[in-house]
Amino acid sequence: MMFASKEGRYFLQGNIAVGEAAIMSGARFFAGYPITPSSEIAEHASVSLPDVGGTYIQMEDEIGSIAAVIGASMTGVKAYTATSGPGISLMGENIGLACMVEAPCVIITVQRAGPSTGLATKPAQGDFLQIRHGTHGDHMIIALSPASVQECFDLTIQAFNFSERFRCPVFLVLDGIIGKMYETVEIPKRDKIEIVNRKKATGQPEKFQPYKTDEDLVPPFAPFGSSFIARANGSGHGIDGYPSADANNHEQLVYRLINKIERYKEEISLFKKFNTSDADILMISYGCSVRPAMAAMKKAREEGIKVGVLQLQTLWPFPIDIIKSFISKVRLVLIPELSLGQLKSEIIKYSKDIPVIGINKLGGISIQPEDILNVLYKEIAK
Amino acid sequence: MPYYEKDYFEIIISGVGGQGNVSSGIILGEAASCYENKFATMTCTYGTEARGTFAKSDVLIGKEFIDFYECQHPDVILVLHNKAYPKIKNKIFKDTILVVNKNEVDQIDENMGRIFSFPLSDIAFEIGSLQTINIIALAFIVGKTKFIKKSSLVNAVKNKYSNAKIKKLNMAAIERGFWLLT
Amino acid sequence: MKYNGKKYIKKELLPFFWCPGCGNGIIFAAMTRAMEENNLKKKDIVAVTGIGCWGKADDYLTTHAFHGTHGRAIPVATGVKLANPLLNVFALVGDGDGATIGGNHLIHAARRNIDIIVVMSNNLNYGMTGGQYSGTTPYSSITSTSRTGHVEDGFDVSSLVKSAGAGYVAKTTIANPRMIQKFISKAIKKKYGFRFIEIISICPTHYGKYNKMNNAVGMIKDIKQRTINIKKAEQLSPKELENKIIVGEYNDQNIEGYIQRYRKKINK
Repeated sequence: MMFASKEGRYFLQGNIAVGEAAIMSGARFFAGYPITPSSEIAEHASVSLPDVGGTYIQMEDEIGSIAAVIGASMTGVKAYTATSGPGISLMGENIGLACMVEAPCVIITVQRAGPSTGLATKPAQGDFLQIRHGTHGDHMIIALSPASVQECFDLTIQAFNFSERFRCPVFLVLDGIIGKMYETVEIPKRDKIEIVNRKKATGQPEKFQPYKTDEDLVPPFAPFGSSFIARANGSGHGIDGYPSADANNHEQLVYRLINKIERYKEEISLFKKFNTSDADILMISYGCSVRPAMAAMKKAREEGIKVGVLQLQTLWPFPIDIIKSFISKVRLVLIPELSLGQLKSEIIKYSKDIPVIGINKLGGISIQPEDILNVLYKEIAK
Repeated sequence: MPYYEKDYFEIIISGVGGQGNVSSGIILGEAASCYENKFATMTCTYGTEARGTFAKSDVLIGKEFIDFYECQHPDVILVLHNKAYPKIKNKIFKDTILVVNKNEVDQIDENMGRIFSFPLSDIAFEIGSLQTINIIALAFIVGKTKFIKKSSLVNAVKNKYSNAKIKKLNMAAIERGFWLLT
Repeated sequence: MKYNGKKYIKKELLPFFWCPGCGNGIIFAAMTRAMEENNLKKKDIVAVTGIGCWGKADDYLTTHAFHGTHGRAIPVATGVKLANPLLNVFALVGDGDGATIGGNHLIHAARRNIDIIVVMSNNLNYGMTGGQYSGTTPYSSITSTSRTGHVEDGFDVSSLVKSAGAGYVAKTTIANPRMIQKFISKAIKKKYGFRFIEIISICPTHYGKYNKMNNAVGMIKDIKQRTINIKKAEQLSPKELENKIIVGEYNDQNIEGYIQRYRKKINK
């Protein structure tokens, strides 16, 4: 039973829009462990996947969940899981495994207030750095973040497409507000949705090397069960998939895993800009905090204050060039986020002498437009 | 300005868990989104348990994409239970229409907002199900403000319930809600 | 023996990296013979391993292989099998991978009766990292982290897996390669449900050295002396069974596998 199997306008919860888009992306496997505020994604998968010949399984924990997702992916099936910060903490090690074996998969995290159990039902944006650095070792990760239910749908499709194209795990980063809120969403016609599938291995099966890459640094994929014998290896490995502890090989491997993403950073870096062309003050935000920023921007504009909003849809790889180009045109940067300044900590690396002010909130409640306006007025008065 | 001419409309549906605050918010959102090509958002707040504690839904409806998802200046607040009133009190403005369930809410400040008080629990019971309480109230609010069309509400309710008996009950609830206007 | 399992063995990578006297070679050979006995195609086999000495087994296989993280072979294998039920999925785990860090996955996989075969090489310690104690190390044994004798009792893994609900559970030792082959072969033939084969192995390099058990020959001799068949064990008292290795089929029932059950439920 899908909720939006036909194109048209719907009023859907963010988590459900993610689930719908996953199915439309061609995802056919979900393994997860329910956790607030992401559980609707698991519930949706449990109902919807069987209808399209897919499989849902609830594992014993998040470690097992991501492991099963990776295993499923290696059979050629598009696979996903959904969790929240505590679950990402448990998945940490195997997120690196997905990077290393190059298993395409989508990991949806709906951020809630931490640390630890924190405020289990309340939203936050305190996992921005966890998503980037949650697994050990040098690596690169792609993370997309929607700020509306429409974007929940659109960016889920995009997340699957990126994961297939680059053969890597992709994070879809929601928060308790965007995941749980209902909003108008337009589901496009199926043939209007671009779906990317991973490159398939070709040539003579006997000569197949599972980690031999093409020009784009991505190895063509052979599913378990095909006559191209595949080896997925989380340890250091050569292009044949057999272990290698060679120093040069390790260096090349890690560089390749990073560069296959870095090289296409410009295409991966998705963002939206609002009223930035004449702005001398810029708000940079992502996820739920974009919404009060938009309201504050409109209010400030009514009063003649030239404020613009830059919404980051791609969080990682961090869109340094975009940040730099927008910041260089303004005299003040405000960063509303539901954390103590994790996004800000990244932005100030590139802001030079332009003042960057964080608007931060804890307690599991949304930033209000007034919170932003109060800071804005205070800064202008300086 | 009449409500139906406004670009933007805010309503808070409040009560306790189990009174259908979420499902009635969804009905409003669907009525606006699917039958009028408008934009809507809904965010919900609950107590820690699902039943018996304060619960509210903020529903915002507009002709364009809605920036902020929480009610800033509600046009209407529906109060179905005593427990909800103190929590929404600070959102009552002079022009806010306050629709009150007389059966469950007794301590209200008569000077705050434009109050419309009905024994909604009794009326719902008469119709045949306490579950219809929200729909009666929504119908009254739609009739009073006309921020969406009656037909949109009817379509959204019909679409929501597949069970014929429940559908019929809710249709009766809509008519009863409109009748409260007279 | 009738079968040699050669087509599943990556001969270019031989000899095995395992220490002289290690039991893993025996298990490996018996497993590949069982594959051959059942005429499995290489392309239809996926071997999933974690980390540990036995976790290196996939390196010598010509089948599809997944070498993952410590303790997670069983959930990876679960995902592989569910996404492509036509595959023969083997999780090759040691006592560390399978019964210690991954113990929770093991009991849940047994409970849900997921349709995979688990071949556990149980050598009673963490051999690869220098012989620290594991979840199966017996009470009082010496390991590199229990120099004055191990405080805890070890799991009886086969009994644990049986009580968790697995339909097929069998235990044997490296002293009986024919029995290893027989049990794995039977597990393959069964096709459905969670099938668990525990093989008591030896680690002369660490466990043997620490516990002054001489060499591999002596350790195998010791295993033989302590081995008793499950049928016979049923007639003995707990006192008489102390220190015994009880081998045989702990459970042999045809319980519906997870995939069959899932299909039935979702088609309701």
